[in-house]
Amino acid sequence: MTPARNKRIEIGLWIAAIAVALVLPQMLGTGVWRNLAVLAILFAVVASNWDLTLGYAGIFNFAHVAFFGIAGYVSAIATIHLGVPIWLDVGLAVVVVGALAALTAVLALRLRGIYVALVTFAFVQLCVALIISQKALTGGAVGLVGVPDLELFGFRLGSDGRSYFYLAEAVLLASTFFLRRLVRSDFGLSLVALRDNEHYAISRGISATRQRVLAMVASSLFPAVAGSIYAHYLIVASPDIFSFSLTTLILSMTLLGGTSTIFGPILAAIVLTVVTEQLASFGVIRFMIIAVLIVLTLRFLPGGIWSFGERIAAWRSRAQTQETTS
Amino acid sequence: MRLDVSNLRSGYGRVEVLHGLSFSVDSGTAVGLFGPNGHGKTTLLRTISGLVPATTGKIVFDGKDIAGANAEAVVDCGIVHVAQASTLFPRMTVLEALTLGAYRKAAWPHRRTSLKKVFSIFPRLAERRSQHCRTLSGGERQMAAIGVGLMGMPRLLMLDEPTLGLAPKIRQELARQIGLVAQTGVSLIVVDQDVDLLLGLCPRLYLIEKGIVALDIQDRNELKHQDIIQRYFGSAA
Amino acid sequence: MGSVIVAGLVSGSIYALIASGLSLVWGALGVFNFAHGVLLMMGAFAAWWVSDPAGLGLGLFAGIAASLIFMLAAGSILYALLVRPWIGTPAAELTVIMTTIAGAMFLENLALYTFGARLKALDQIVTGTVTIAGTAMHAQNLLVIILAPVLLCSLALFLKLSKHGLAIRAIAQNSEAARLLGIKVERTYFITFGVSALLAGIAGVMIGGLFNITPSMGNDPLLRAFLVVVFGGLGSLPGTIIAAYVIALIEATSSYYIGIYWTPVVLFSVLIAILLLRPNGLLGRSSS
Repeated sequence: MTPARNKRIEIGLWIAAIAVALVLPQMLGTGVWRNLAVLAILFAVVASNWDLTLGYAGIFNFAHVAFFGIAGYVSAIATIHLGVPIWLDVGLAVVVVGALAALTAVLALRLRGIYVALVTFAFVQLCVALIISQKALTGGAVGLVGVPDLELFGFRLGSDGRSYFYLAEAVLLASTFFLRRLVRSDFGLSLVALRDNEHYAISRGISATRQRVLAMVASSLFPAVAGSIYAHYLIVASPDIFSFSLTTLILSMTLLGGTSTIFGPILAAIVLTVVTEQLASFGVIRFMIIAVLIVLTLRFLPGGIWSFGERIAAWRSRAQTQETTS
Repeated sequence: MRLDVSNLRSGYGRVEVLHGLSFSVDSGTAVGLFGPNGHGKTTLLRTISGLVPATTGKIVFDGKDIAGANAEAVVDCGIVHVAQASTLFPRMTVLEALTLGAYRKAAWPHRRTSLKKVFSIFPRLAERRSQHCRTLSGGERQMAAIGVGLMGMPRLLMLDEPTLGLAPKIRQELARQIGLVAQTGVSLIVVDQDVDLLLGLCPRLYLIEKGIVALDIQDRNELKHQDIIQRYFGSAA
Repeated sequence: MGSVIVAGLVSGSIYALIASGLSLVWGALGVFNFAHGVLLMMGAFAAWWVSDPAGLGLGLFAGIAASLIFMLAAGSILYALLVRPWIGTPAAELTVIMTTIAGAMFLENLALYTFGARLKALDQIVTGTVTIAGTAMHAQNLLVIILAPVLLCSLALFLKLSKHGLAIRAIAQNSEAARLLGIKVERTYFITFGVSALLAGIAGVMIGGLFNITPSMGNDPLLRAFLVVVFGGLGSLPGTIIAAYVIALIEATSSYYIGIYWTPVVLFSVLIAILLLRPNGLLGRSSS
C-alpha cells in the first residue's frame, strides 16, 4: 500500500461519500427515518469532534456537548430576542462557542487530567442552572420556542423533509474533512505527541497550553454549527440538551466508535441513534441495554467498532500477502 | 535457606536484559553483586522478587521454583526486596511504614519483636519514628527502607544500591549496620557500586556484565581489589 | 442564621462522606468512580425496601443493617465488573470513567424500572425537633451532624492504625513498594471499594431520612462531591473533609441570601477562583 495508492483510495472514498450523501435523502422514504437521519448526522458531528480532544489530545473535556447546546441557545436568543438575521446567527453561535471553548480551556487546562473532567462536568451543570434561572431570556425549563426556520433564497428548509438532511450531511462532510486534515497536520501530530509523552514534547518546543487551547477551540467549531442548525430544525432550544443522558449517549458514540479514528464515532453515532430509537418501546430498559453494550464493547473491543473494521482489514491483507508469498 | 538461580532470562517487553544468568546464595551468607550500570543487576532483583516476569529459567528457593510467581507470593516465601532509592511512603510516619513492613502473614504477629530488633540496629529510626518518611534525609531513608524490609522477617533480604548517593560517613555507618543485619542470620544479596563495601561485607561476589555472571569470586581474598577494578574497567573499555 | 449553619453542617457531613469514598478509591486505585452517586441511591433504596411495609417491612434498624451489608457486596461487585478488568491498562482512567458512567446508567434505570419514579421516604432514626443555641432543627439533622464526624474519624483511624488501612494508604503512595511488602493489592482494592460503597450507602440512608428517595437522588450529591474533591484535592482525606464543609456552608449561605438559582453560579465561581490560585485544590498534591 503505497502513499499514492492510499491517496487515491481516500479520494475515491470521499467521492463515494458525497455520492451517498446526495442519494440517501432521496431513498429514505418516511419522515421518521429522515428525522432520525438528521439527528444521527448532527450527533455524528458532535461525537467525531469530541474525538479530537478526547482521543487525539487526551483531554477529558466533559463540556463538549454543552458547547453543542449553547450554540443552539445563542442562535435561539439571537434570532428571537435580538432579531439577528438567520445564517448570521449560525456564525454568531460559532464565535460565541469558540470563545467559550477558549475560556474553558484556559481555565481548566491548568488542572490535571481527572480534574478537567470534573470541572467541565460541573460547568455543564452550571449552564443548566443558569439557563433555567433566566426564564425571561431562555424560556427556563421549557426552552425557547420559535427559532425561525432556515431559508435559502426564499426557500424554507423546513418545508421539505429532505432539506435539513442535505444540510446536515454537508456539515458532516465539511467537519470530517476539517478534522482529517487537522489530525494529519503538524498541529495534529503535536497534540498526539503531547498526549503520549508530554515532557518530551514540551522539551522539543511544543507549547502544551497553546496547542490544547487550540484543540478545544477547533473541536467546538463544527459542533457549534450543528447545534445552531439543531435549534433551527427543532424550532426550539431546550435545556434537555444538557442532560446527563445525552452527554453519556454522545460519549458512548465517541468511545464505542473508537477514539483517535474520527470515522469510528461517526459510525457509532449512526448506529446508536438508530438503536436508541428502535428500542424506544422498551422504555427505561433500553438504557440498561445500552449500558451493558457499552461495557461489553469496552471490554472486548477496546479500540471501538472502527478497530474491528481495521482488524478485519489487517487480517485480510495478511491473508493476501500470505497467498502471494506462498 | 538456599537460592539457586539457573539460566534466568527476563527483560522488558521485547528487550531482553538477562541472558541466561545463574548464581546461588547459601544459607546465612551475604552475596555481593556489582558491575556496570544497565547490565541487569536491578533487573535480576526485580525478576526474583516477581516485579518482572521471567521468560525462562529457574529461581529455586528452598527447593521451590518461584520463577513467575507474583510479588505477593515471593514475599510470602520470605524473600524481601528493598528497591533502589525507594521514596518509601512519603506521607506515612516511620513507625507506620515499619509496621506495614510486617504485613506478611508470618511476620505480622511478631511485629513488636521485629520493631525492637530494627531499632537496635538503626537507633536513628527510633528517634525519627513519628516523622513522615518524606522528611527523612537520604541516609535515614535508606535505613528506614532496610528496616521496613527487615520487619518482614525475611530469610533472604535483597538490597539494591543501599549506599547510592550517600556521603562517605553515612555510607560507612550504613555498611556497619548492614553487617549487623547479616549477623542476625538473614541471608543477603547486596547490589552496589561500591566494591569496597561489598568486599568488606560479602564473602562471595558476582560481577554481572551484559546480563550474565562474568566473574564468580568465591573467596574475596582470591582476587585483589585492583584486579577487580582492572577487570571492571578493562572490559568496559 | 442558625438554620443556615445547621443546613450547612448537615450537607457538609453528607458531602464529606460521599467525597471521602471517591477520594479513597482515587488514591488507592487511581480511578474515578462515576457510579458513586448510584451507590448512594442503592443504599437508600436497600434500607427502604427492607424497612418499609411496601417492601419487607422489617423495620428501620433491620433496613439500615441490611443496607450496610448490601453496600459492601454492591461495592465489590461493581469493582469486579466495572473496574478490575481495566486496572493497569493504558487508558484506565478514561475507560473506568466510561464503564462507571455506564454502570450508573444501568443501575439508575434498573431502580426506575423496579421501584418507579414516585418519591419515597425513609423513616427517621430519631424524630422530633431539638433546639440548640436558639436554633430549632430536626433531631435527625443533629444525628447526622454528630454521626458523620464520628464515622469520618473512624475512617481516619482505620486508615491510620489497621493493617488494611495502612495497606490502602501504601498502595496510594507507592504502589511498587507496597507490592514488595507482600501487600495483597487485589484484596486491598476490594476492601477500598467496599469501604467507599459503605460510605456512599450511609450517606444515602441519611439523605433518605431527611429528604426523599428517588432513582436519581444520587446525581446532585455526586456533582457536589465533584466540586468538593476538586476543591479539597483528590487523595487528601483532610482536604476533602474540610472542603466538604466549606462548600456546604457556602451553598447554604448562598441559597438563603441569594436564592437557589444563583447558588450553582456562586459555587462554581468560588471553585474557579480557588483553582486559579491553587490548581491542585486546597490541600491537594501535585503528584499522585
